[in-house]
Amino acid sequence: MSFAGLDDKKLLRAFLEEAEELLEKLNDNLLQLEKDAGNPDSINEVFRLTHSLKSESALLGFTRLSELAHRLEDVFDSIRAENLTLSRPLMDAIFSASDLIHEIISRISSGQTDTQIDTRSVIGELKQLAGLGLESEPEEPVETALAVAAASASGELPLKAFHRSLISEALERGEKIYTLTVRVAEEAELKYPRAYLVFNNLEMIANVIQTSPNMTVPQDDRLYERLVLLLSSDLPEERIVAACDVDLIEEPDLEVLDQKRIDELLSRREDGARTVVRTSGSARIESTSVRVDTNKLNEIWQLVGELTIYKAQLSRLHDRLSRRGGNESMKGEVERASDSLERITAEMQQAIMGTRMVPIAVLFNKFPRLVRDLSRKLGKIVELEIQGKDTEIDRTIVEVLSDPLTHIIRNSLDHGLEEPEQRRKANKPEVGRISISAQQQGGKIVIEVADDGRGLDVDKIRKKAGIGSEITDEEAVQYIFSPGFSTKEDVTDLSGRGVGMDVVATRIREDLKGEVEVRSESGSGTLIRILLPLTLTILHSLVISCAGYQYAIPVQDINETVKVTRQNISIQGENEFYDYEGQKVPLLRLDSVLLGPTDENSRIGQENNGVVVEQRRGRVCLLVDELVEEEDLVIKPISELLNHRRLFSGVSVLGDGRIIFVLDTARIIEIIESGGFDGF
Amino acid sequence: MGEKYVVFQIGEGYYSIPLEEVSQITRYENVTGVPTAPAFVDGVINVGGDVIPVVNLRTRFALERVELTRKNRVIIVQKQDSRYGLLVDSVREILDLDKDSVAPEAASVFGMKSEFVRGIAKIRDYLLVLLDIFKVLSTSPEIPIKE
Amino acid sequence: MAFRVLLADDLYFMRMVQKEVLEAKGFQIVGEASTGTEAVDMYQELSPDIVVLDITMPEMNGLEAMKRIFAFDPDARIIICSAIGQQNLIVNAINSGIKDFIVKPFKPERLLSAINKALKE
Repeated sequence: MSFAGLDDKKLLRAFLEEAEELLEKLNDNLLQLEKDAGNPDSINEVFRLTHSLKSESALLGFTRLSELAHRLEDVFDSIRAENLTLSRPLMDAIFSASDLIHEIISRISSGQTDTQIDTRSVIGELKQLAGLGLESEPEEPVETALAVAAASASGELPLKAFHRSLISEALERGEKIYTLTVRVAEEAELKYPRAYLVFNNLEMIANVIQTSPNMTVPQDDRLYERLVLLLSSDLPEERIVAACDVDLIEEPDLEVLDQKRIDELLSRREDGARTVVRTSGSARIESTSVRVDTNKLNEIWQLVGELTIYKAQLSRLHDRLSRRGGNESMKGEVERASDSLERITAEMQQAIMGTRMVPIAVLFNKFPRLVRDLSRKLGKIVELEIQGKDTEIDRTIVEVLSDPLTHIIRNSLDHGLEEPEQRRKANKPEVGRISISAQQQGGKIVIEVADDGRGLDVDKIRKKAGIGSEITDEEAVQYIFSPGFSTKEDVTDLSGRGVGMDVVATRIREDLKGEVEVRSESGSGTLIRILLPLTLTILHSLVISCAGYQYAIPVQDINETVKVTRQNISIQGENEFYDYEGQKVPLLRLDSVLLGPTDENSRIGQENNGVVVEQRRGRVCLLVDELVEEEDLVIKPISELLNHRRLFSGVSVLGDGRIIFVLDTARIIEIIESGGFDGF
Repeated sequence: MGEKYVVFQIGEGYYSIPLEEVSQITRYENVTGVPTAPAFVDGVINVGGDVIPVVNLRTRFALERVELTRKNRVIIVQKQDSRYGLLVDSVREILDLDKDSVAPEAASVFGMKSEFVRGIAKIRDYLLVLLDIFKVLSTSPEIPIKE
Repeated sequence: MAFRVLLADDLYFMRMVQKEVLEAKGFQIVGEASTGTEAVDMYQELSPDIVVLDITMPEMNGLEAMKRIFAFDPDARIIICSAIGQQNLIVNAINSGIKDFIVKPFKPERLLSAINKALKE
């Protein structure tokens, strides 16, 4: 057994030492498991040990030993995943395997190899008892798929209208269209990730329009032996081919498409479901297509194009600098290039964020059907009302919110709403109502699910949570969200297995960093309110300047921007008012609000800029310096250290690096209403 | 085998925080002023799209302001989702500290109040204060850090 | 001038083999880490040309270490060692910027060709 010219003896010795140690630990853990078959630590430890043993022995070419260790590893993996329990016969087989391993190791240490040991019977026993070796390999479907893929290169790429517009846009920019065929070496064990390496490289330097098989939703690994890409680029072909220079990837096939082929592609009608046949072992497939505004995409492609220019510029300069030690002007150039790079990356982020926003309708749309089906099943009559479905939220939030929201609705249907008979008796309309609404409020997204059912049974909750009478009813009902509150018995078949409101609350709190609360009235109904932070929300805002700094005001809060002059203000006591549409609206100088009253606070000159903002509590006219611009801002949460007076609802970083704080107009109005800023 | 600490200097004193609380160390540049923030917050910096407040530890420790030099650094610390930047005079080194060399009873070294000090260590030629930085950051601005 | 390599794997034996293979071909092993935390520290101190990083390590695992190394040095060259069945982890790592991945158990030639390709850029 030679090993690329290494010192075999030394390696062998080290291997044996480690193997002995592993075996000892293995035995200890197995004995533990004999006494306590469910011990998770021992199970994990054995899994880890057999895994290590498998890897090390394979490295030295002891394939029999490695296989044996591998089988044991599989057994313990199944036990870990709770697909298998340790029975007496299985335990015996495991011990036999372990003894066999021991024997193999001693043979190896006395100079023999492992090939003489018959491991088949032990492995067979393990397979049988553990139900392993049941991997059915449906060869057929994959073969058909590969045959489909073997058809002409660009012919098989499913093209939708969206892709065709990408092609047109690329042509307008003067780029060439290519098909690139990449093959993964047969010996590569994981073909999809290997193909992904190439895909990733290409995405950075060119526009990948479409691929086959799909790269974002992985199909069966074997299908990635051959990856076809349709891409556009204005870079020389060598660059594209160079991006495919990845280990275990064979020489790629790059073909420029001539006008005839392009016309063919563009004139193709909408492609039907030309998806690849899925085999039984395929990964979880999520449908993640989003309708994206082409203007936003345009923006992104343009920025990507610019980005590659600056990147190239930067690396050239860097080379020159490091070779020659650089001079000041060169350093200046590098700095400017990297500043541009930063700016564009930030702008790109904003643009990309824009494409990630979806109307919450995406989530709400499946509920009418759900409610209809379930209410029929339960024999209840229910009407669903949806409001605010155009409220935009980040796609990733939608994905995490889907389950909890669905569960809340099921709960309402199952436990909340009464049967028609009961409703009649209670003098309620036969038709039960569930309403779902979403809106942005005071810096958060508020989602509410309300029903007019029987409400929560407060006494039951008190009893279960062991709460005393010092806790009010309103507080008591919040206990349904405490971890571990619901038990298996509470959860019926329809509400899902083992998922109670406590789990819903955990998901919302931990995964979405949100809050959830409940309000209930016995006999009248229940309201569940979810508050989500505005982390990845885009707010259309007005940027204004005040005392040398810029701030943002959400456009949705603004009634109007006005010109404030000495003529249209009036004074009552200490306070100033602006005459707006016949009413007196409190006038606030923003600089004094933010920085405190000083002599330098803006004087009302001929004309000042004012912004009339309105919230539920009232209106106020804010006096500012300049109206700078209107922008779609990505709002991020603001550190408490910067917001001790809670005047801001968030902060935004603009593409050009400006950091702008967003005013919390609701809070400002609240302060005015309750007596003003003197306490400042 | 001990824990690693980042050692930095503020005025005459040497302080340290565990390396695992530190997510990055950067220079003091591109700081945007925030006039509405407390006095010891010099401003904010943009790190990877996040707006992080820069706390001037000298000011927080009630030391007089001095001119910035090339040695100044901003140590970015992170706890769960919150990040803060700490402006220090200089970062001295990253040290491996053995539990045994740390004395838990914090006599008032450099005048620091004991609730902000996790321990004291004697390193070669200086005394090192192990700071509870998140306690410092979460303490109300009116309360001084030093006696 | 020899390329400087940092190895990270919790199995001593694995590191030894990798070290033998690489040193025989003229690479210089400047450090060996056995946990994610050590890997990150050593990267900081030693600034190697390339890191071979195992995904499953105690304390801090390889992926966490990878993220931290990229945070310090966005141009770091990292090759991760994974097991079969970790497709998603690998794809995530590729998106983070690794140069290549090796599937365990691997042949020494694989390690060499991956490293050589990664260092070419």
